[in-house]
Amino acid sequence: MTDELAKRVRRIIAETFNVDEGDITNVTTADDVDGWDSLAHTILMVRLQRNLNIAIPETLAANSPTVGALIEGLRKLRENDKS
Amino acid sequence: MLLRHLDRHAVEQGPRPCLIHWRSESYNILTYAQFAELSNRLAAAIKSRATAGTAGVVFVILKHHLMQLPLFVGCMRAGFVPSFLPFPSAKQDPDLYWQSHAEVIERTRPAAIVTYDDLMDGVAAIADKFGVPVLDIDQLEGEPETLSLPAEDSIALLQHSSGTTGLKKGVALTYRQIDRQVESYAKAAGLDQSSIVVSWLPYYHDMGLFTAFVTPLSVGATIVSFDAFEWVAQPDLLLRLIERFRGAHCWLPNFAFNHLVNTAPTDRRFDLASVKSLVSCSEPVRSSTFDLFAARFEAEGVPRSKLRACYAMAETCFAVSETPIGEGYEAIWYDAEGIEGACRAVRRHPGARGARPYVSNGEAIEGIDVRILAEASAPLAAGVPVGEILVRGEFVFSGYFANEEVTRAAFHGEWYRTGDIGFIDNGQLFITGRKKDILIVHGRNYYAHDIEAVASSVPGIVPGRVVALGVMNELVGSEEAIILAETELAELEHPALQRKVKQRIYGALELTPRKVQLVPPGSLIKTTSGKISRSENFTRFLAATQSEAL
Repeated sequence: MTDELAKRVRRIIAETFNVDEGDITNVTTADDVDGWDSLAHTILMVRLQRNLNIAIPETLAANSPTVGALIEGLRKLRENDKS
Repeated sequence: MLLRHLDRHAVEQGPRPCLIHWRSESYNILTYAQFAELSNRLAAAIKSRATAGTAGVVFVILKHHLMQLPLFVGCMRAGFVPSFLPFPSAKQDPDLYWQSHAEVIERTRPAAIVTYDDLMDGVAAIADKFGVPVLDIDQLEGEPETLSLPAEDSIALLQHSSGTTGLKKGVALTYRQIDRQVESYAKAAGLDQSSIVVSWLPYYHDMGLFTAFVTPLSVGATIVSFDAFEWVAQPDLLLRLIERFRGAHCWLPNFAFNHLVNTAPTDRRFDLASVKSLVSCSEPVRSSTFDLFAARFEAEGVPRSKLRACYAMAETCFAVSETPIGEGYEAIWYDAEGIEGACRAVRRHPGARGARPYVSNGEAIEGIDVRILAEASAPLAAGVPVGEILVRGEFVFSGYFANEEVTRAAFHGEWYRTGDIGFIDNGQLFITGRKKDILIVHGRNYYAHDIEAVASSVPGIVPGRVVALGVMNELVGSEEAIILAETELAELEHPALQRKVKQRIYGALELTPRKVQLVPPGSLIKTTSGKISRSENFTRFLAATQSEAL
């Protein structure tokens, strides 16, 4: 279960920024990925929302310093959605 | 004059909404009567606390704030010259931000700086050195009093260009110049008392200042204003506010049209039938962007006929030319080699080999003359000349504040040299490039020199061996910054260095470069005089990128 979500998020990030999925790890930050600026970040959030079918609050979208933190935040959201 | 117009609206249409200030899903309304009263109170507060006997400039450094427009007008009423400056965003390095503003504060010696609680200490650290009072917007109080109006030919406001240190210039505009612009542009734009403008544009930028403040308030229209940061994170908020308040006019840079298309919800339709005009400005207008936008939003009420192109700059208050309301846009094809090499614009058939589409920016609006400064060519040469765009007229500024040398260099006789390259065909103005080494990223101008200086200061980069390039990204609809920099560090250390360069540039300039490409010492191409050549490195970078894509 860990990894279905993490994999999906990493795949969407890789597709959005046109990089290899292997280059996206839990410690990756926006500054490590070419083209990941504030506009592209919004596009990424829209894609994640559509793909995962959840509403991502601005606090999570704006305050995830690493890909790992984003994945953990999304995991909690999903769990809350289910409960 | 703006102040006289506002006084008239306060009497004649006092209860009508002047400003709808939206913030985080709620809003406040100021009527014209309330706006007048608030600006009078703030005028008294500024008058009693700003330093007398200086040049009278008041810097306003505020996030999106209900009081920012009444304060600006209050400064004018009290006889001061207000100027909005950008505020540091949450991710910016405060030290680098203040460094880049220290010189403008030192050169201008403002009579006061108005800011908000979080920034008080940062501002005071610089302002105290020059004895400039720093005032908290939320603590300003005063009793309204009747103040005499400033003279028509006195300076009304300063608009600051982007750039750090010596590159940051204050465009000084008089009440008369502003009034002429408003009169001419309101007519061209189709703005009147019944108009509703919806905007997220920041006010420290000419487009926000004139289209979401000075022009609509002069004609008695209503502004719905919200924060640019809120818009970037929730682009559809603009569409929701147009729908909710029956918005009719909106101004956006080219990239914003792409951003709206790229993030448009698939499960929600908007009723945008109230829109009369969406104007693209501040970035080169691209027909491919307009085509995408019209295809996505036509069914919701924004067909091609409502999309317009405008050419504008702070030095002419705002607009120079604009396409007519209701007529839409047209892409005309010209020979690309002719424009770039021979400096002649020769029409070609759409889709012809070697030809490129250009969108007309319309005819010059009333009150301004536009001409092209071009090399002499053979009398029978085909097409029209391409060269630097020069302007003169009733609303062209008279100079940069306290900067005579730069002002002199900016004029060719009575004509202002815009630094933009273009041509006029059949009365229509087309923009094809620019002379100045400026990158326009997401509607904001950045000097290549500034970006290079910041990157160059990062330990690990060979000082002075950096070039900043503006490369068009079709998907984003804007140029993006690409940094090429020399380093002696081993490849293993490159990712950390690239990250540092990106962070330093964002910290100082609020710009995220798309890419920082590190190369070994001696790799960047130099000119014969030993300087790094932007144009040759640009050509080589593009060629390498294209061959990679093949």
